[in-house]
Amino acid sequence: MQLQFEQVTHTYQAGSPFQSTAIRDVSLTLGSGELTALIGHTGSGKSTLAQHMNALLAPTSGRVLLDGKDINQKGVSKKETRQRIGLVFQYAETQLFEETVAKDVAFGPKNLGLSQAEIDARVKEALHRVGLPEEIAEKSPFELSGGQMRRAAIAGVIAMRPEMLVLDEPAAGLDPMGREDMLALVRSFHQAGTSIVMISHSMDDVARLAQRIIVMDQGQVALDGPAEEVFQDADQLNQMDLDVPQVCKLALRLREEGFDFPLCYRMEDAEKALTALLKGGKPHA
Amino acid sequence: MLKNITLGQYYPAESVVHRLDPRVKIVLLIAFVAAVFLVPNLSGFVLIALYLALACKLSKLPVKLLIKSIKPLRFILIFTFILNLFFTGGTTELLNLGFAVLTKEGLLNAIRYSLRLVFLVLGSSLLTLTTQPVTLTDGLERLLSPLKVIHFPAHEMAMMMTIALRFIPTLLEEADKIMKAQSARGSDFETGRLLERVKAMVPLLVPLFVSAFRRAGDLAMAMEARCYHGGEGRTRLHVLKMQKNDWIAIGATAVLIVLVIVEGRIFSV
Repeated sequence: MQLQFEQVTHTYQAGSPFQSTAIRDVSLTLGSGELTALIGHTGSGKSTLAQHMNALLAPTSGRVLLDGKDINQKGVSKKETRQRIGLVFQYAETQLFEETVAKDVAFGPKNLGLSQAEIDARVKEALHRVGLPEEIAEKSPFELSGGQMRRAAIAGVIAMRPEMLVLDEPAAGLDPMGREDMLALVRSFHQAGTSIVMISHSMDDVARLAQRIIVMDQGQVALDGPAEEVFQDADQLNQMDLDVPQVCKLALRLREEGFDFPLCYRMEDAEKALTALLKGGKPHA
Repeated sequence: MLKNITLGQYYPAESVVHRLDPRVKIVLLIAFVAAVFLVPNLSGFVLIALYLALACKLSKLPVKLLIKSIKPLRFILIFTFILNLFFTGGTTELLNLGFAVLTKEGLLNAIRYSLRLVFLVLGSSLLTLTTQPVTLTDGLERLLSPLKVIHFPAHEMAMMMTIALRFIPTLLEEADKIMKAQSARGSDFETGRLLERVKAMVPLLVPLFVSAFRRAGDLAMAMEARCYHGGEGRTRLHVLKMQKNDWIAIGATAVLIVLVIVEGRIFSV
């Protein structure tokens, strides 16, 4: 599966005095099993970009192609696009509405017109995949804890079995434990073969998960590449009001002091390098 | 989807009319409406039109914007015109269509009532176009505060209106987001039969209400945390004070009413 952006521009309220261009001339290719992080400062156009991925917004100019087909063309089923590309909004728990968790998770599959047996099977599977115990299925979603509600909402999208999952700040507002669990969950979706696009503010989360990083700045793609490349550009990231991960900062600082330290961004790599350094490294003169 | 709804019709500009005391503007609107209904004959509407034109000129509003405010009323206008045209009665026959008779009285009445409606709407639009909703509720509160003597909750009313106005854009944004989130799960809000569309609203309305109640609770808590206890003994940040321009506006409107009455005595058409 391949999702391709061709010079996509989106202007809100075009032609009115309030018009503003949220994304400008974005060209990207996503999918094929990658775990991609989309980062950028508030208002850089991340969420607008995400909403173009499953045709919730149509570009003002440019095209979005799913396996070569323009998803905003007449005659292309929006439902099918939205089944193939699942979008989990920020604070997804606000979309829960049914009497029971199971019914809420079933909402998506039901809209796809699946048989009741298939729906039941998918609900069960989805709840299992997000790590919610089975007895929760018959509870009201409003009785759950915040973290559980978020999981239930994500299950509602997973139950549609998307080939690509776009998550807008999935860990926002969760406590440190919930955050860890959420990141583990995203990783597990990826390991199960789903392409992931994760929008995030947290560089540390991104550093731990992402293979590829797309940096948005003022509606445009500023950087796009493998994590290790993007994080080397600390200066440029700083200019866009973005930070590098804590591990990166440590590495950069050590290098500044003259230590022979690799430019790494993952905790594990840093740990290895640090151990080596402590065992016998000396600063270069 | 819902983003392009403009709330209220406030048109920001720097003008004397914009700066008038909201209390004065409300009272003047009432006086203007009274004048519109006092006009006994067609020539009197010239005075009303002149007054309105002057106010419009002073307010620096684009005339088009003001005229546009009549548009939603066009069917009522046509209906009023036709109804008065044929059902007024009268003796001076202008045209006999067989099934209906067109009289001079009917024609005059039709024009008069339509003009009244038009000026009524134009006058109120002028108020809402030049006054921010929150300022308007503020003025309304002050105007109604004498009624506190008979236990009318003027402050609470105004506070509720202000809060409601403040939260409409927030809730619209929220509705937009929930709508998109449900669309992402294959929900369809745009097509289908009436019953299906009504059913499709449930996944939107339930979360919207949940969030509205949550927000209301949070807001009440935040207000109490800052010692809000109703209107009693509360002072204001912006104290409304009558300025020279306010008195001039009142004077001008008084002149209008007098002229309308005098004019009615002199001319009969």
